[in-house]
Amino acid sequence: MAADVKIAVDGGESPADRHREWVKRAQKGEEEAFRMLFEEFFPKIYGTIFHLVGQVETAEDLAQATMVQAWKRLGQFDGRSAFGTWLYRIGVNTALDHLRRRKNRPMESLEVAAESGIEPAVDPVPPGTGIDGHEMANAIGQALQKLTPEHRSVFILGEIESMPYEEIGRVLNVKRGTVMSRMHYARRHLQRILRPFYERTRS
Amino acid sequence: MNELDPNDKRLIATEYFDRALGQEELAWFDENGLVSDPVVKETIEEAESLRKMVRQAERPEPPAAMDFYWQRVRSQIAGEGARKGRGWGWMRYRIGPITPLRGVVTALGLALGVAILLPRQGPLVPRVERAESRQPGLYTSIVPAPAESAGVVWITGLEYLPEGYVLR
Repeated sequence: MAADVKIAVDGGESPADRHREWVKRAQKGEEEAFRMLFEEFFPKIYGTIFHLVGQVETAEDLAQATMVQAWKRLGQFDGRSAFGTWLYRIGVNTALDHLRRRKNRPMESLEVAAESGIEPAVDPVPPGTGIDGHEMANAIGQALQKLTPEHRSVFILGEIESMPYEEIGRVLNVKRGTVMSRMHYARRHLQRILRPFYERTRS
Repeated sequence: MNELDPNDKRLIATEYFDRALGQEELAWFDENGLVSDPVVKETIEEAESLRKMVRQAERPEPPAAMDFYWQRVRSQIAGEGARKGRGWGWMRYRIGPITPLRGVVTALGLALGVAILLPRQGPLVPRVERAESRQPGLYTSIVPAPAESAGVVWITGLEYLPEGYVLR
């Protein structure tokens, strides 16, 4: 994962070493060290959660809740996994819990969809129209919301956050084979939805 | 590798595309010429197109006001600390961590204390009034029965009475 690259930059300590140091200090109650972790990870966690829930405000609230949870459970972090992996586990589970609750409240999910502008289908692009990065992001965002949260989370962590299968497995607490099959079916589903878009990018 | 199911080929192609195959699996993949298999090729091409599209898409902007979110996180953390301070957390510093052994010993101690302190609630023993007579071996017991508003008079030693003795 990009957040825990082990190569030292400019001969200094690696990001993973730096995170370990901050975690140690934060575990002793040093607020400034936790602030450093916050500044490093909050934007990344927010990005992942945004792709999972598809809404700016909800993603901000859930990313914030993730950081509060991380502070509360900091004493339980034993350093066996990278801090980023541990934090992503909290963040993704927080988002998945939110999605499960939203699923159980159909009225709210309709309201949320209306509010966020998510249409029931991916907006078609007229033939001959160029697609910019913004439109592409919208199309992908809409298509992602059509996947199950389990498939969506694997695709986001693998394809957007560039995590290897093993790390995705650790974040989601599933086996490597499950990651592989979910990734495969997520791609197949997205390809079907996005075919009109990505065929344009091919040509 | 025609004996492989097309779906299996797609799954292997997915792993190959994601660089998730181990050394041995990769060697097997190459040895069997799976790279040129039509199903594998198609799967890889489609995954590449999708990846290209995802990479071209704009990433969501990180929240601009990081400090605003930090302050919100900070106030929640501070609130949490204050709640802990008001709770029973201080007990831990006095009695130490609660281990299973300590828990069992404490529970047994409490149970013993309660057993000792509880008033005895055994079967109700009636107070017996006993009257001796001048005749040795003969006596009378009166057992009160308050529930019945009565008493039972029990005479013991009638066999010691001389013949012709009259009870009054």
